[in-house]
Amino acid sequence: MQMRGRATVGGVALAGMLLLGAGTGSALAQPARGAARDAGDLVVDAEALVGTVREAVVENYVFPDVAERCAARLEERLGSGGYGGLDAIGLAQAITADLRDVSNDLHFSVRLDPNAFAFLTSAEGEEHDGPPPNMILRQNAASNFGFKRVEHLAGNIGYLKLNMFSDDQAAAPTAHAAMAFLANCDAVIIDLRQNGGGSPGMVQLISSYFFPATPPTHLNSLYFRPTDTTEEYFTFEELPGKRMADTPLFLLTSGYTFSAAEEFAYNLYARERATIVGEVTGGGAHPGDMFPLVNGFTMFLPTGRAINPITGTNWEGKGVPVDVECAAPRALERAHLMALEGLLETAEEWRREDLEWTVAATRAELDPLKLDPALLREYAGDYGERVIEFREGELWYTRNAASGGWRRMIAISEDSFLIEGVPGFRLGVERDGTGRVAGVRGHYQQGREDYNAREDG
Amino acid sequence: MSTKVFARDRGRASVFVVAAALSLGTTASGQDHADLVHSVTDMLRTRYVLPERAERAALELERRLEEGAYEGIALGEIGPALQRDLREITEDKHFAVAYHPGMYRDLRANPPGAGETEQPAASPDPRAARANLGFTRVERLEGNVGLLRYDEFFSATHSGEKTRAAVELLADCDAVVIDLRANWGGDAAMVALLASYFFDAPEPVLLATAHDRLTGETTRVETDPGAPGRRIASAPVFCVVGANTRSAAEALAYFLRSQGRATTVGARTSGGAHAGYIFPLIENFVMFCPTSRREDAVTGGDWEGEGVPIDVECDEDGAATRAHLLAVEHAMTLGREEDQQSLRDLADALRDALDE
Repeated sequence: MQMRGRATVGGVALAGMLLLGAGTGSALAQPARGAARDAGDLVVDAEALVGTVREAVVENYVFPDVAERCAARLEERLGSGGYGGLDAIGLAQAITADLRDVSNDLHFSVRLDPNAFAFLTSAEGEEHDGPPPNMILRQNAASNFGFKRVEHLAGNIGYLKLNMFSDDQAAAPTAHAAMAFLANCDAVIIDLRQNGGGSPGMVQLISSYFFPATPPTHLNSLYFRPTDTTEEYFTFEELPGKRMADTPLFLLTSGYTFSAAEEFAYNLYARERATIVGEVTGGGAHPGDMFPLVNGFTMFLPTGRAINPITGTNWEGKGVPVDVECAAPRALERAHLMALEGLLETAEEWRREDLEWTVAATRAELDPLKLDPALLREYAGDYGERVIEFREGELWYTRNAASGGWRRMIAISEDSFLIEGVPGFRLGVERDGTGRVAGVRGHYQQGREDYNAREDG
Repeated sequence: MSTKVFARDRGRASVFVVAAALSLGTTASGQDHADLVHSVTDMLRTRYVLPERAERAALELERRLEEGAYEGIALGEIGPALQRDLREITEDKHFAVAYHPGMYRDLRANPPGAGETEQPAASPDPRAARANLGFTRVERLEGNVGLLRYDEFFSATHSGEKTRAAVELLADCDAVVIDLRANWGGDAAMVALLASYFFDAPEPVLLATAHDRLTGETTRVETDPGAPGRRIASAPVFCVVGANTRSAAEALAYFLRSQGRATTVGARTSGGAHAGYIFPLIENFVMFCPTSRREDAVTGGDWEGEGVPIDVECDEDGAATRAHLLAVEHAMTLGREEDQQSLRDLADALRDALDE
């Protein structure tokens, strides 16, 4: 079970699963971000390792000419003693760096992974059509197959934080449940900011929910060099749950978003089915397999490439085009606001006020209004059961000072505030005829108001 | 409209408050304050779940009427005053009285207690879909702990699919945290449906016995072993509760706790154990009157006035983090060698967060 610990090393175990479960021979996975550090002192035969890497790359890498150049670089480095004096992990990293440098392909990854090696060279591992091993499935189940969070956000906007595209057979019930959770929402946001990739089959399954049943939509094709075949991915005509073919869809991306997560975003971008919000993605469009090398070393080797039916190309080295560029940490609020504003444009009258309140609150959180501290100090005071305090440039509010419950005030105008964590409520500051701050008025979203006069002069 | 409502202060009850406020100066033809008060006291005497308390409250309201307590209040404004007095005298915060012509008309056509089987199939609450049937969030927290934030019990008839989906997303967890801090209640039948997913016995588990004065019936509140989907039968459950955990939400926490199926974490809950119906009064007035109570199958008691017993008392704001920590501490006892270090680190991080 040592592989379980490796799950913390972004996507390593996933890549293993993809290989092992690669009934279609395809996998799009995040390259390894680390390796088994406790094995660093393993005695290494660099020449033997480089030989197996060379052979695998020349025979299988998606572009034969690039593969030859990679091989030449490895030879040259080995000949000049460039791989000398390294421990096992250092050697794996050095070879990976050379492969990526020549090819610009971030999917390349040589690792020391004795468990994966043992599996890949076993009878079970050599048979590529089986399901992922139970150990990997248990591990993926413990992370809910990447379905980290589903949430119903203000304004009836659905949110899915998807951290990997897991095996589409084992994870199907979870995927369908997540879609059922989102099915009544007026817009959906899928967060790919921490998604390093996974199975194109899961990309296909989730995408299918966002297109009509018929005619099937051609999402993407994957060409594989070893078999010289092209696999076409279409949306499914049959799904167990309700489709969201007309539901506005937003995708959140970051520089970490990679591989299958990019495929998902690019496919939808090309079909103009989603608005992409965030940062340019990692740029990995070459699916591949895990190969055993020697002495416990394995390699993720890109054997194919994506060919989008609309654009005729893919996102390798470039990343997915972003519709609304913004820093990844702000992307959720940005997308939530865009979704709400979109709904407001077409909302029936009875929903408008509700949505306007939510829009104002989301906008204030995204881009807080900065008020003059002198003005804020003027508002601090006792208003009966309501108390406002000025602390370090901000106003804090409580309705029950005795029991605490202090909450931050967020300005939406010079004299109107939201209270953090209290939805559907605003606090307005009111002045009397002489301009003195005379009281505060609570405004509730349902239309109710209440007023407290200032009591501390 | 005969769906039993298991809630206080909000939802349908709050519809009344707003409607009354909007109806200032409205008077019903030919009926006065005395007629209204007497229709309320009639309702108390014949329907309110606690007969002795009902009689005391009725006498007190009639005394206040005699003393002229409601004079000078426009008929359209009298609802809030009566509601306040009812709640004060009975100490039961479920009561609501309001002027609401639309609801009055519906209730006249389709009175509560006319027999569920004769009712047309209830159409979905229009708020339900937009509120995601009350299921606000499902999350896989660190340490393989599932979190469900559940904010309202919508009609069990329409909640099946969403419930099943939420449970499916939680089913592989080592522990489940149900955050009920913002849940004010709702449909009583939904309590049993949701609870069903935490037991895998082939026979129904009796959670409580409900006594309804309106129908005169005693009914079993029990799990449904046939509810479709997976079960969370062995993972420990932590119900996170607080001052805004009310009615049906209290029922869920109370029943699961007394069955030994959940640990309650947080602060004192609202203390509303009575369910009831909306009834028509005199023309254009309606009233929410609690008609039923439930006896827990294990304790024989309920949580009216007292709230749900809390196993791990703590500040409400930190209660979800506390529950997460308890869940992680449980996971550490499962003895999976490879998890121990990461669980220890996680527990330390959660303790640090709680100390802040």
